[in-house]
Amino acid sequence: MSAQSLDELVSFVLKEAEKRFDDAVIHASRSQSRQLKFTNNGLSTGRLWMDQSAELFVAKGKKVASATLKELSQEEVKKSIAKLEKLIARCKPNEEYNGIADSGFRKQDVMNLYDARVEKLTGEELVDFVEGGINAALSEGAERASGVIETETAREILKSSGGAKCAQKGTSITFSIRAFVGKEASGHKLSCARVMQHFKPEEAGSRAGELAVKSVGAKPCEAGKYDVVFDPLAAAVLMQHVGEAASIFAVEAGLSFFEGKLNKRVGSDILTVFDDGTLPGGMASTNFDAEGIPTQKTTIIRFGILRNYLHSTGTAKRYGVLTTGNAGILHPHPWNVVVDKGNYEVPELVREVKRGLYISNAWYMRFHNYRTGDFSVMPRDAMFYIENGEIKHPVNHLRLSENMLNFLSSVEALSETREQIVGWEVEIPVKCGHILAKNLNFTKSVGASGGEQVI
Amino acid sequence: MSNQALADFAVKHALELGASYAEARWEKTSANAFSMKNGIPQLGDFEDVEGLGVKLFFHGAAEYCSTDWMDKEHVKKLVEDGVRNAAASSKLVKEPMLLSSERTVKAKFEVQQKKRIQNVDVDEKFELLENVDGALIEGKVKIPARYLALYDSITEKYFVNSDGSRISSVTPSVGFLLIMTVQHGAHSMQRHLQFNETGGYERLDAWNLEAAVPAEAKAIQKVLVEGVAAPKGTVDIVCAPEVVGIACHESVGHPFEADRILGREGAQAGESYLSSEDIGKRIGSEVPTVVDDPTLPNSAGYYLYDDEGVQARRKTLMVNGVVAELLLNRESAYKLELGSNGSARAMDYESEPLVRMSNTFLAPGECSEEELLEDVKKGVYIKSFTEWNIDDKRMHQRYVGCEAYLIENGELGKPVKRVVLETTTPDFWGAVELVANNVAFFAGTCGKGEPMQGVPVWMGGPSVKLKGLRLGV
Repeated sequence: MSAQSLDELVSFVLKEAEKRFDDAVIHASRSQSRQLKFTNNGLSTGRLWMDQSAELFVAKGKKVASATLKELSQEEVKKSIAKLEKLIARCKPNEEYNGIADSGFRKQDVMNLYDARVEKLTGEELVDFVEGGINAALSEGAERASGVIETETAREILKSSGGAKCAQKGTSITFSIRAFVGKEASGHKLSCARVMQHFKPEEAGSRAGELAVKSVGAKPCEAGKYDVVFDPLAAAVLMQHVGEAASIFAVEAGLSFFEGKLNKRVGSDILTVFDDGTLPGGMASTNFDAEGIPTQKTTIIRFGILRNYLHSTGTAKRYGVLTTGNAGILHPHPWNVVVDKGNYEVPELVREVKRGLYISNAWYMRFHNYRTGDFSVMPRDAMFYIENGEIKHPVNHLRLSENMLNFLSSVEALSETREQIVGWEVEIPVKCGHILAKNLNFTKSVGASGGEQVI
Repeated sequence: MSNQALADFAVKHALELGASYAEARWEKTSANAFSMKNGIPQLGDFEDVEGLGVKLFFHGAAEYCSTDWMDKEHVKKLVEDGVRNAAASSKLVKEPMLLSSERTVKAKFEVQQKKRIQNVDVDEKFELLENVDGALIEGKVKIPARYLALYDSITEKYFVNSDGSRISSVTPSVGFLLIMTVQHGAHSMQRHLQFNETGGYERLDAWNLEAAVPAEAKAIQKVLVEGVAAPKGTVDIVCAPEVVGIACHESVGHPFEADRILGREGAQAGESYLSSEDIGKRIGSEVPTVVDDPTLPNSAGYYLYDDEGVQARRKTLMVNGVVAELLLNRESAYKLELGSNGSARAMDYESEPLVRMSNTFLAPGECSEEELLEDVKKGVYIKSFTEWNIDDKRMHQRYVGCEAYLIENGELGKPVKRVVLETTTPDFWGAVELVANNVAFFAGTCGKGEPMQGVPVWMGGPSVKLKGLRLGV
């Protein structure tokens, strides 16, 4: 089906919705995605998704309702609108609801969101990328590699009763590879991009293989305080929560360590973090938000001071500020978290460390209390002990048990080069470099004797 | 063409194109959700989603493809594109995809509802949220932030494969979620509560939310007001069913998934401390026995046939501390020269079935929880947890207490703040000395796969006494 017919459908839905509701936003998309999953150097499964969906947001007075549909015929859509009408009549008023955007619409064209070469990639070409990535890891000395390659092409149309009329198409391609030596040593890297020129699967494979080989023979390490150089993959796991916590919804729901901190110090004075929906080639970059407002670059933290929460038009009205182009209408959310670059080379960051760790990846970050920012997370894959500015040997089995505000305040230096990260543990795309943070707390699992047991 | 006929056509067409095996799963889910934030109703939401997923094998390569377009033209194109992609993939397939041989099944099952989801109107659902929120406020506990959600769904499925199996099912489910922050002075604690069962709205009767939720808030307030520091060093620990459940899920359920053991989830969800030769290996004391059972009536992880058409059954993963059985789908069962034990689950039609848990729990013992406590001179009772995590091989884990108490001479004493149990799998299971008979289950959403698939599960068991573990900081 063509994008033209999707446009006609959205117009039809909006016309029907406007007859029944005060506010209506229709956001429809059609997409095709491919994925190849590889295990131990061979392909295990291919995937193909042919998707379509429409999201309807409607309001009548202060009553608010929404729906997600997959069957997009006019007949089915009419049924759904009738169902929404019935639903909203019985909903309780949302006294916080402040309407949708009715001005401020402007066409923008964020760079590098679509590349026809990604859309036209054949199955054979995807297989070749996987083979190239695996071979790059093996050539570094890795014994095996597992991971995925994914591509997506999506066309979206959004129209609203407020006057928004938006359309865009986008592509993305991601290669994620974990290389292994034996059962214990591993390294993980990825390459993600919206256009082919930024896609480097063999580089990811090579770097994953190199990390796996270097992490052979890892030793247990004492719990305690360490200075840490975070690889971008590990830093992104933590930094995505800066974006999440900046959402005004998170603040109101008790899920933000930034509550009550606006214009107060939340990080070290070298730390500046943005949310940027306009990041060229950003994995979550988009020309418009969920009410059709052009996205923007919003400062979250500037030189350590919290400067803005992320808003939609309706939430912004409640606080007497302007929307930041981050709708979700009720639940504003970040697009791409961008950590401003520093001026260090990575070896210089390592040389700054007297006794510390290099952490290449992290996973399973869980908060004890989102409001205070207390959390723990497991370093994963290659991790190295640093002494007197030199990487000494691989280590394992530590857990970073910290607080987000303390972590942000402990940032001492940032690398000049940055990478874009998105994936299993990083749902909100993050662009960041290597980060040096001082004096962070690490714990570890201990047995009854205090020693480590392995079966 | 009916939806069932479309699924049948997809399998037939895949075989015509040369596929060695094909299966198709049509699903239709109608779901509703209602939410309230800080006492203010947010919105009503519904989802009507329907589509078809097709798995096919061609020249040794496996392809899983799905579409939201339920018409013959699109399904035909889906299958043809799937075969073409599989042909391209076959170049890099190291081991041709083959499945364990399983009995052909023709069956239907439906979870019965007493208070049908279709008959519960919106007013009643919002009223329920308001009543729970009102009960929280009346409890006079300071709760500066709270988010409540009530949700329900009905999923219809039709599964067909080229072996001749045809299975239809209807599964309704209901759920409730609460995230609340309890404050005392400058200090706060948070609690996430989730309930989920298959069935209709009658299932909420037993949850007794208007009493249970305020009781949780009061207990947390007591920890904030009266809580003392956890003892240092090695002590006996009594873990209540919620903590036992998460330990069963994380350090027994996940590492017993055969696809992880074979490396298929290596890149993201990770691998396992077990190898495929570890059946019979001891990982705990002679006391704990851990079970995964999808056939528990009204459980969150309930099903009678899995998403590969294999009949579900109870699986005893660990018997008296020894590895007894892995969780298997047809692919991993073939590789291990076993039969599938019906552990393949998919989140929806867009997702390939993976080896998954259902309801994972510690089998009960014979004594009461009070009898567990009687033996403890000095220790800690951990009733619920907040933060937790575990490494991707499922060896090094951490559970941070939410509601916890000192145990002194067999009696519960003062509440304990932020007790940290940071231990290893063999230490935890090796320390199990005594198991009570007070089995309880807790709902969760288990994540695995790429893209991430969240499936509803129960975790639970009875209280256990752990002899001499070190508490962390």
